[in-house]
Amino acid sequence: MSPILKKKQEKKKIPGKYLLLLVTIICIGMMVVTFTTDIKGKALNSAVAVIVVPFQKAISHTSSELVALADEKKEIDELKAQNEELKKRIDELTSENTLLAQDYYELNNLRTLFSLNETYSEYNKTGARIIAADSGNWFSTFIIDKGSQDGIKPNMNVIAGAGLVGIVTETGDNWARVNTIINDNANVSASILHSQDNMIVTGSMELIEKGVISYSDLLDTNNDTAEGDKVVTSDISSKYLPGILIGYVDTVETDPNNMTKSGMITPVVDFEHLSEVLVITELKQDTEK
Amino acid sequence: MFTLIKKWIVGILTVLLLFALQTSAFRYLPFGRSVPNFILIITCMYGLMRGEYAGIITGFTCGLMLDIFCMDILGFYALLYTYVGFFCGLANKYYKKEDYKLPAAAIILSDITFMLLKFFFTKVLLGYFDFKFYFRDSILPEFVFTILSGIIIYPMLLFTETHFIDYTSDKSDSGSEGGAGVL
Repeated sequence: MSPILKKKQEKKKIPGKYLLLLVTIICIGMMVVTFTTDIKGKALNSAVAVIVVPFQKAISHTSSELVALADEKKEIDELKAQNEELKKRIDELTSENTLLAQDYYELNNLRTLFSLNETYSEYNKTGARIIAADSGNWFSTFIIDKGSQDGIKPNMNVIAGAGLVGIVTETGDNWARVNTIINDNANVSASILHSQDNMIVTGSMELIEKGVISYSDLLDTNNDTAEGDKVVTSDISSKYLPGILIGYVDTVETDPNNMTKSGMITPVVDFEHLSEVLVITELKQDTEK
Repeated sequence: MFTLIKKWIVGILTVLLLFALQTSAFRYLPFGRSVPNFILIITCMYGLMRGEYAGIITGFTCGLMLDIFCMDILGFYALLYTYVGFFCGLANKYYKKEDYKLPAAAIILSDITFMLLKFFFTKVLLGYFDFKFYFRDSILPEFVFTILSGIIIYPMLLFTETHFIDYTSDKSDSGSEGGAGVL
């Protein structure tokens, strides 16, 4: 067989070293440019979006369908049992609901009195599907299937269910990258709901293994922060809209300086099983104006 | 010439498929949060099977796509994967189809080096020194899955390489289609 011989001859003609050198220079150039100027090639973003995103969408779709198919049988049994249970709950809840309805009218009246009609549920949201995650478990970022064409902009908040997931860091035409609050580099300015004491919530890939993230710099003015307190995004955050639920206080420890407290928070969002998220299409900067 | 075109088409399709698989599909599988590094495997194998040119090109393209999706700066993954492709390409002259030891060694070595470099550049430089945690949580599982999936992917790659691309046409030995280091 001659292929080996043939190959050797060709190698001598065109050494890969030069190509390697060229590519190295290009890469380092790109790193320097993107690091210093904060501009990521718009053209590159869209080029990749056109080629790769359809593939990712297709595969993400088929695999979720397959998983759904496999789970279906198990689910039917579960659902039957659940259904029974829920029927009972409905009766309980209907009676409870009538009571709450009364309270609601009262609340509305009081709200108009206080002119506090803007609540968290009134942010405009748009649903998006997660189509890709980072290539490993080193970072906790993911890609969603909506981008600048759908009005997504960087710094928009992303929520799932009732809680904060993260923030959009970058957008392409039909995709956007979301940095989650559990990522090592994520810091969220938050506050305890009932006391409005501010704190910093810091993500950690290590702690989230145990289902928690950490917080620090809590100035517990009334000394009444306890396990189970709701933690929401604070008013003073520059990027996060106020009042979005992050999680519940898990542990409280006094820092060595005796001034501040720190500890753990259990996030309300199940970061292991995210598949659809809601993007709040309002930016903090705009709402302040 | 025709072989070259076929090689590019097969290569591009394989790369896109594996890239999408790695980033999209594995979240649905019961691997926990670890994902086998298909991109490393394909870069490594194209380097080994097709030569250093193919290794460099595959590594650069895959890396750049990853950069765009996952990193704040461009060029980091591109550079790492390019070097993986290049060094695997250097071993191309010792590569024989029947030999499974060289591909295995190539994947193992490049995976270890790759992950250590990644740990250093993305974690240590940012101030996370907990090697033990990342070893247990990321490096080890990713390594094991990569090796396991390498065992599955390699025969498939070998199949596409030998069946869709007609390397055995010894008559065209004059090597007109030689550009990217044909096997």
